[in-house]
Amino acid sequence: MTSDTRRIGVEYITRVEGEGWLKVAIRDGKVSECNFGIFEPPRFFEAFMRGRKFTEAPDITARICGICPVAYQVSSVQAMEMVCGVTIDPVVDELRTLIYCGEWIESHTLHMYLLHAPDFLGYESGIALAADHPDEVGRGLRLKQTGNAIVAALGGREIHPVGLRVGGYHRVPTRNELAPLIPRLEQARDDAIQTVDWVATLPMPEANRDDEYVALAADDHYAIHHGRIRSTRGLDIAVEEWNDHFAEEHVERSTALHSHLKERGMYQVGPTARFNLSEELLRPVALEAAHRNGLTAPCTNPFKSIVVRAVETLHAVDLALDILDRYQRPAHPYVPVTPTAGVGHGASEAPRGLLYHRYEIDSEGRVKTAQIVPPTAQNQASIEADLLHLVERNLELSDADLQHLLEQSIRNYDPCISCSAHFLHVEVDRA
Amino acid sequence: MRNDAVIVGVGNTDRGDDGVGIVVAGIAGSLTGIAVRTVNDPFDIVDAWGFADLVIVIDATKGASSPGAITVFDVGSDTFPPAFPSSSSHGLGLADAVALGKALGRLPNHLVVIGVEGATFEGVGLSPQVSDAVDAAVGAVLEVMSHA
Repeated sequence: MTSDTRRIGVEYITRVEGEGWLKVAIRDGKVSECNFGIFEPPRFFEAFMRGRKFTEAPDITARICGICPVAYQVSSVQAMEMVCGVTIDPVVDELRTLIYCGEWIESHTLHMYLLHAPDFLGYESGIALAADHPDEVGRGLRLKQTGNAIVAALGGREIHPVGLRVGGYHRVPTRNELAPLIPRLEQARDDAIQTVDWVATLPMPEANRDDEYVALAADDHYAIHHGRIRSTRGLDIAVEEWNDHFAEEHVERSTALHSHLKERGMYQVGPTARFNLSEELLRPVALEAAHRNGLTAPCTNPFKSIVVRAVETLHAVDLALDILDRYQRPAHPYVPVTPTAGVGHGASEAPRGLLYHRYEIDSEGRVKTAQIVPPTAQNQASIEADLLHLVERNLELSDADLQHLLEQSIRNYDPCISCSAHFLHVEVDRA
Repeated sequence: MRNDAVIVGVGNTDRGDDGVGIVVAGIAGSLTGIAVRTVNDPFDIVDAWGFADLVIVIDATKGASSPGAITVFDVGSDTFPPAFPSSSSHGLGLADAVALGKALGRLPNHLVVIGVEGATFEGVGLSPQVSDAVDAAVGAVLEVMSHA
């Protein structure tokens, strides 16, 4: 290494699920290399779904991620219900929204309080943050537990819930069984409001990205698991048109596939994308909290994603209360589903962004092919672009300070790297 | 039966010996009638023990000793190892969870951690070495209870 060369390597990025690395090389005052990589072993889920029964998809794919299993379950059951031509009871469908709210609450809260906020305040960990800010971190844990409680009430357990099935739920709770959630959610609403106000005070690095934001969006609600795929640059397609507009490619340094829009290249998914596309459809209490703290669409500073997460947490808490208030137990927890040969597509908004599933099944309900596009894979190119942008603007920082800034930037996307691995078929040319 | 005590089993039963904490907690709870909580995410441990006076946490360890070996840490009287060799697949381990509880002022008066060294952390079910150690681990829980 010459005197005018700086190389900063971060081999293990902490406080993200899974593991990844980034490499930045600076030569003569310019960035010559900036790569964010993943070296977690491939997960092979798309491959070993082949031959399995269509009813197994929700429980198998849920194992891809311990943080967002509900997202995998919902995307997969919706894909199977599409191919089999099934429409589920609207009340049962709303219970899917409810368990999804629980997942947003627990995932967002974990990320904000224990993974990301320490970056903004200069702490090495959530534990160190808790020592100086016990009330705030205690509030975060209380919020997360409420999210856990929703998932457990509907999914049977907090981790890798098992309640969902193709056609509905295995069992739906009575109104009395869900009633204990209401006072917890009322407390959670206060906690979530305070969370928005707190994260909005965090010292926010300046950054501005001219990016295309992609999310599920609807005309009448802040989309979680129903809607069309839209972007801030005019994309507006049905979920089943995914492969007409998006492509995945293997990048040598990563075991995850990188996604891009065929016509325009990189894009990003996640809370900021949802907010930028559907801000006005937030629950009124969440929209008011966002505006009170100066957050309006379009939000183009990736660091403000932590504020968007707080706003979405408040939205999810308030929506969960609304669903519980109206809930009447449906007569049947599920509709029987007879397998039909064909192709089905499902998309939903995992906490960290759009999650697309596509399955082809035969007449006996065996999976012939599976395609799973997780949010972190879609954000890979955007994460790298952020890093390049930051390095170029902050060359004067010490290596340690630059490393801290880059890790903080990666966490803007809450990259659940465990989600981002595909099976890759490799052809070897021996000529 | 003590109603100011909680047994917390940590782990994942679908990940080989990582499930030993869940298994031991369940048996010990049945024998003693003490409340049992099971958690996978170490972040949830602080909530799991709530405001109990006595908490016994059982977790699998990895790299601490030979498979099946049992280690008992009395957090109140021993120095808790800064790097308790938890088998957690997440970035946060049991030692971090205890540190978090301490930072939040939510450590129970008496906290005992029982570690069982795992042999494998793949597949469903316990390895033979760890299965053989379950009775001894349950005995360790009862021993703690008898002196508490």
